[in-house]
Amino acid sequence: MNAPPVNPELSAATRRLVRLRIWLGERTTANELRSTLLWAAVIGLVGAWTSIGFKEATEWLHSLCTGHRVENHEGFVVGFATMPWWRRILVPLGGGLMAGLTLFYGRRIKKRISTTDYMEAVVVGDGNLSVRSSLVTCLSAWFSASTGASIGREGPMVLLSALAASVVGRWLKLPLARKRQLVACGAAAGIASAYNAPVAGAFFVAEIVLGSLAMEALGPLVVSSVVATLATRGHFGAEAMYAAPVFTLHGNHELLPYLVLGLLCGGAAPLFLGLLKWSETGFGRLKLPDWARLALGGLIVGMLAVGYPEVTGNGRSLVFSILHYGGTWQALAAILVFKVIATGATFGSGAVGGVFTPTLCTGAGLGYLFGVAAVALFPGWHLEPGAFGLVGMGAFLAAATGAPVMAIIMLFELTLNYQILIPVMLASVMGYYMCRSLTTRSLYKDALARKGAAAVAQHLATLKVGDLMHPDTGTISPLASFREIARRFLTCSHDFLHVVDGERFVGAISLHDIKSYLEHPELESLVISQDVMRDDHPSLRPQMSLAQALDFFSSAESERLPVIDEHASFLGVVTKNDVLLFLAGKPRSLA
Amino acid sequence: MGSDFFLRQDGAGLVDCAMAAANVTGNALILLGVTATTEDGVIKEMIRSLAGCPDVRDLAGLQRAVLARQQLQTPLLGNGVALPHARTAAVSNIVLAIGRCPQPVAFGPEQAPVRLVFLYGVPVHCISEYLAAVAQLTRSLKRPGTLEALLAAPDEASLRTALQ
Repeated sequence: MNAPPVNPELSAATRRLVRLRIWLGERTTANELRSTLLWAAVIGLVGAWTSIGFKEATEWLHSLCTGHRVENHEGFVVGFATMPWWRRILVPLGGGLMAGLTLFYGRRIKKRISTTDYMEAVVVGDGNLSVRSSLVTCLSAWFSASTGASIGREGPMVLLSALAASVVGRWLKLPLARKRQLVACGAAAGIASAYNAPVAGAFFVAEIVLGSLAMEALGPLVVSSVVATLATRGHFGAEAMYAAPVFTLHGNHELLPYLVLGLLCGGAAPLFLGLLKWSETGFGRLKLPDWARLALGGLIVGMLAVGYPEVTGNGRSLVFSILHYGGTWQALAAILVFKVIATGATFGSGAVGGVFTPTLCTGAGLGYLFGVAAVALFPGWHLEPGAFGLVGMGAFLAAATGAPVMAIIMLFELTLNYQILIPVMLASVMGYYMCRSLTTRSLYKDALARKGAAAVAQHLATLKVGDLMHPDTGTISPLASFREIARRFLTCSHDFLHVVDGERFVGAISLHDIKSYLEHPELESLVISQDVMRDDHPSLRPQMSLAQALDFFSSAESERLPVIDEHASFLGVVTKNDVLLFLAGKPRSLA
Repeated sequence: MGSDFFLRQDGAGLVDCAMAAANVTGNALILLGVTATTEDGVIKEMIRSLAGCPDVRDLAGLQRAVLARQQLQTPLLGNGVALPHARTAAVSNIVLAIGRCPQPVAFGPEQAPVRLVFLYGVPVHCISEYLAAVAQLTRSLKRPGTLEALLAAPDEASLRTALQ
């Protein structure tokens, strides 16, 4: 074997850089997490712009169909209210037809396009969202949401944002765990951007999509949500989405009716879920092709809109009206009933879109009506029906989605009203427990189950170290000189270099072991990698389970371990963060 | 900014390593008249001289390890000094043998003339201690007059003194 040429000494500047690198390395940890946070911020920005794009596209198509230009991002009700009766029927009918045709022909390209898709429920899976089927469902949702279907346009925003994240993850060839994390960040950015709610965006994905509030998973979601919100605010402005009149709690006794409202919402949520399910079954029995079924759903919404244009759209403008103007309880009760029927008809027909805003709308209506009754029963308590509308939104959302933490935070962020927090917390928790005592179903649990989340979870549960493995950027030859070792540490962010002889893993060099001797240029001609490597550095096998890998990490100094086969061939590396991200993001049933 | 700023946390560890390095040099076995005239011969002769050293568990194993390490790269300091070494389980503590050749012996593929040989046997886990020992030795050898004193030392005691 030839000896390497005698190397010139490390320059003083290089040595200073290496010392700085050591100093930084000793004072900061979790390099992988830092890069995850950086990508989370990028995804937040990308997610915001996909959401903004979809929102603008929806308003453009709505203006085209109704002849009414949407001002200040108001809801679509005004457009319908100004149209003649025949057009109120025709627009949702035509929109349903187009949405159905999109799904019908989309299935010819991609068979696995689910119907009745609550699009906020993104199945993160292995982080590879199907571009074609996602775009087909978003296109279908675009037709539905623009033409008055009682459906949330926020759903496609979430899916588009998650899709963008998935494409970025694939492009960067990220390992599985980080690709999953990136898609989850995309979904969080979509929610945050759609609702101007950064914290709720993160909690929505953590609680519903990932099923975990572990900090490894939550941190990047928060970063992504915050960036997405800031970008969206830069475009649309920063006002609260459901700015409500200021609410004041006059005394603790007022909490009693809110508690009862929570129980009521908890009892009503299973009925709402049942109606959606029943409607879906009913439409299914008709055995119509997609285009005819969705057109029929549009027709029902259109016919309801002839008398009550408030039933059209996602329900945002209706919530706004309830909170600010109220009106007579009889009128509101009628609108609420028809709105729920319109929502049932839309989702039952198989239209794809978000169910979040229609749920909020139902809760607001229910809460307001209860508030009117409470005011009548306790006239001396200075109760405000509008405040009950707000609390009803939170309680109904908590019950229907099964995610009370997200619901509480969401309500606060949607209204930016701190006083409302205590009644919302109380009612949301009551609503959640009441609903869970009546049914185990929830909006997104059903949707995730339909989209095959269980099968994905089963697959993820069988994942091994080999599935999370990725190429290493910190390897070095056993013959590398001391100078090369120092340079290598300078150019990579790792504290261990893996020594690989050809394809064989032979050990690892710790920065900690050599850092004190960088001031000795004489060592550069005397010492090679093999002299300073640790032969007993722990390594993983590709067939190991992730739990076993975590055991290795718990006793290892390194945040990144090599993966080798039975012949000690070096295959790649797995980081502790990847394993933790995966375990944190594992669906609840398998955790 | 001095390097101490960066190394403060490991001050105790550094002191331990420095003391260990001083012990290694102090306890070195010295061969003032190496008779072999080839690189391998010099190494084998010096390792044989370590027979009976309590820290050497396996003399043949140590020899194999040092010769194998020489095959990878010849550690030469220049000015006629070579530092053959190996990390091996054949020793339980760092051992050092110092040899002086009466005539220069060709070392390495470049046939560099060598008169002073410092041979280290290092336990597998003693990475920092080994670096400390070698760093201390090279520092001593850089002092003006040390090399000349080592080459001219009439006996073991004066050679040890020259190294301190």
